[in-house]
Amino acid sequence: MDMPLLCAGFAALSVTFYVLLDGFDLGVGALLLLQPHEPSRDHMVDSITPTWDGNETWLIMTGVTLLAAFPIAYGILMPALYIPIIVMLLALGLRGVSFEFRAQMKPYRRRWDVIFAIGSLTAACMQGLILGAMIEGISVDGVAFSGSVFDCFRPFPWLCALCVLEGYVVLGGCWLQFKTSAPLHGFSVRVLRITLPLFLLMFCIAAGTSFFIQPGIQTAWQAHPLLLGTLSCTLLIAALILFCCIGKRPDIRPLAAAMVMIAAGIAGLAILVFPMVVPFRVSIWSASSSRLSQIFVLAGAIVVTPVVLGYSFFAYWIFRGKTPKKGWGGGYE
Amino acid sequence: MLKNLSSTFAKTLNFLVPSLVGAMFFFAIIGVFGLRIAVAGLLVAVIGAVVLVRRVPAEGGSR
Amino acid sequence: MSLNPATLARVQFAFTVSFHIIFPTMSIGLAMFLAVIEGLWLKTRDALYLQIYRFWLSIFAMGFGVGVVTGIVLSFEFGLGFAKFAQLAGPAIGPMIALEVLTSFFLEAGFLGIMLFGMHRVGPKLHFFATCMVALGTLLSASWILSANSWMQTPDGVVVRNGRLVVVNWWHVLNNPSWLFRLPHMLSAAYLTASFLVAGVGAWYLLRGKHLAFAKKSVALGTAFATVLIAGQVFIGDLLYGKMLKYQPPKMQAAEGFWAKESTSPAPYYWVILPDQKEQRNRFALGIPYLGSIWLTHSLHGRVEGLKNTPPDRQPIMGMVFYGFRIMYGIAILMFAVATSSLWLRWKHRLYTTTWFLRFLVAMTPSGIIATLGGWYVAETGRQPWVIFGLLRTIDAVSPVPAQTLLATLIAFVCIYTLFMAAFLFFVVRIIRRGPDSAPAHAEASGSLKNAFRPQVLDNVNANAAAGR
Repeated sequence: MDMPLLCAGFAALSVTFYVLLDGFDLGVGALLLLQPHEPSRDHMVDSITPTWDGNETWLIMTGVTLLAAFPIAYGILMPALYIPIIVMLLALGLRGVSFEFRAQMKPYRRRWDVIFAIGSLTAACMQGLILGAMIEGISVDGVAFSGSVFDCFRPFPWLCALCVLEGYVVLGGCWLQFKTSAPLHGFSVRVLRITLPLFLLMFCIAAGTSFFIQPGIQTAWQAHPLLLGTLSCTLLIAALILFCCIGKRPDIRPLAAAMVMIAAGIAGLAILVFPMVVPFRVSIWSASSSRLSQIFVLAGAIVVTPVVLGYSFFAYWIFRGKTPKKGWGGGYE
Repeated sequence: MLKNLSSTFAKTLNFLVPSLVGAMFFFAIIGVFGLRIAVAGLLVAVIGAVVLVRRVPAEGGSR
Repeated sequence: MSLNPATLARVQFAFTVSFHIIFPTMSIGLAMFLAVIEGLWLKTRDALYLQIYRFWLSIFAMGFGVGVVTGIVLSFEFGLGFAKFAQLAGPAIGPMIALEVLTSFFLEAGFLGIMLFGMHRVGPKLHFFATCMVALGTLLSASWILSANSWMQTPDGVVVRNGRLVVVNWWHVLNNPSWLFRLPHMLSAAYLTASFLVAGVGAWYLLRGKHLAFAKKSVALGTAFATVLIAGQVFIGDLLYGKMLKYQPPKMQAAEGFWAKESTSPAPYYWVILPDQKEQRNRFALGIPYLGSIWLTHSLHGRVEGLKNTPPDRQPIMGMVFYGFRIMYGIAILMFAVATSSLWLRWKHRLYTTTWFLRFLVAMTPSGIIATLGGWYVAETGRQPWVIFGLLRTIDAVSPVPAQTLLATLIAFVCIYTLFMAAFLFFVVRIIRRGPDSAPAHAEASGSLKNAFRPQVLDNVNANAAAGR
């Protein structure tokens, strides 16, 4: 059994769960900046209140899997992406604090909303930046990172940052359409009509640019043209369906389409970089720790993941349906 | 058993007795007199404390 | 502080990990306390226990939350600041750290929600089970992390091959020489922390004549647990001291403040020193005569090993190890004094009415946290200049990140973490001010599923679903 492959699979799964679940949280958070009407903002926050912090679980699982299963990669990627990772972590922490403060200090709610929004936006951008920097290439000398911490602030990673942000906003908009009723419903529709085409445009630019700046991507396309082509088509078709469903019942369709679209994108990315855990330099087999270490990690993951998934599913199920206008009740003393 | 002594002496005793007993237990438990005395001291201290806590009301009768 | 990347990386890690450890220490202690209290409530049906439970539940929830956020940072920071350490040690301790994270999520996903918010939603036995599982979960998480850190202190089970560490014996990695001594020491530290928090708050109320029943019970419980725990803690501490003297002599040599290879006989016990690492001597030293020989050699005239027994390029910085140790040990002595006094005052039926004692308890409220920090400073600074003792030096483990970047992120961490601490203290002080009568039946944290289990919230949810929107 190819342990590195299985661990890589688990890490990829972890990242996917994270993007799909935290994506719309961050998107809704960022959208707060576009919503001047305070009760509507409250309604937006209420829609993500029940489930937002559990989603970060998957981010940590990814990081820790890297440390335990691919420590060489961990030791290269962390210093290489030092600034965006720390900014992201602080932004996520800030989100948490502002969420609590926002609820407890009603007179300052608007200020905390802005901080929450900025935290969400920053975290989203940093994730995109990390993605872009990894695609553009990380300087590696042997097993050590050999570049500068500022390497990740090149134009292409910034493009990816905007692209990922836009993608999260699309997810956020779909979530709002799914979970809210008028007038936020109308707001989400307007948002989607603008952001979806914007996202697709940026995605195409980014995908096209990546072709030229990263020879590894050309190689990958030549190696798996059918697979990548299918995924690209899936993505575009999902986007099309999404576009047609904006504002129409059933409200879950845009969200479902958006998730398929993003998932296709992630799958495509995975195929493009495979089998390099540090694209396009270090493979999963060179970065691996010992076999037993990886078995330990996988064993723990196999036990814990279903529980976490089950609990999450339960959470979303409890809060099914539209978010009530007056929130989830239970005022604060 | 205190006879008609001045309150200062009583207070001094009230301070010295627990302090000296406590210090003795401390020295014993950290092993100054050897491992066996340390274990013995630990057991006496813990069991004694448990018995005291359960038996003696912390204020004059009421809780 | 120089603009030296190695120093800055260490300061940054020291800051984030010191901040972090405060919260899991409280969480481990309070979780066990809550389990005991709920058990007592189920057994006696005395509503006072339920009141105590609810009061500390909110504080526990908040501390747990901050612990999780700061813990997330740490799981990345190994690599951010010390990439080479992560690459080398990853195979050995990576799985343990991963298991710690997974254990936490398991318990958080499964039981924390029920514990925090399910009081009226699930039966009392299931709720008690959830509380116990949370207490067990925090204990297990601590075990994994302590195994990982203990491996860094007393590595075992690995050999170096081609510049990489290869694990040859997993059991020896996990059950390394110091693990089973450091684990109960840390757990006791956590339980002591909770005991003094509880007793301190109770004493605060007693001094103000408020919430008397709650306050008295808190003081009684807190001091009772503290008494049993501190006796065990100093016992374990002494055993651990012996272990570390054997496996990491430089640490214990630095901890006592002696430089000469053999101290004078009899040796004093130093409390204040002004060490000069360059000149390998103390410019000033103040101590209690004879006590050094008595406590450290268990004899009246024994000589103590000084730091010059270790070559200078392998010496930790004496000042940090010494004062970390003195703070921890000094507080331990104070705790022991509290314990002795509490037993004596109980005997005299004056536990709740002796003003100086109650003031002492209030002052000792954060003592567990401070002592724990002191102890960790001994552990970590005493291991220097090694990050894995005897295998990897800290300066060789640092990430290739420039000093200015490290400084900037350090400042960012300090600012944001200050905000976390302010938030935490704000809520805790508010809970204490309001008193136990206003303690909500469910923890107050607002974001997340856990909020959902509050009865008003769940009723709304059900009404919502029923309306079929």
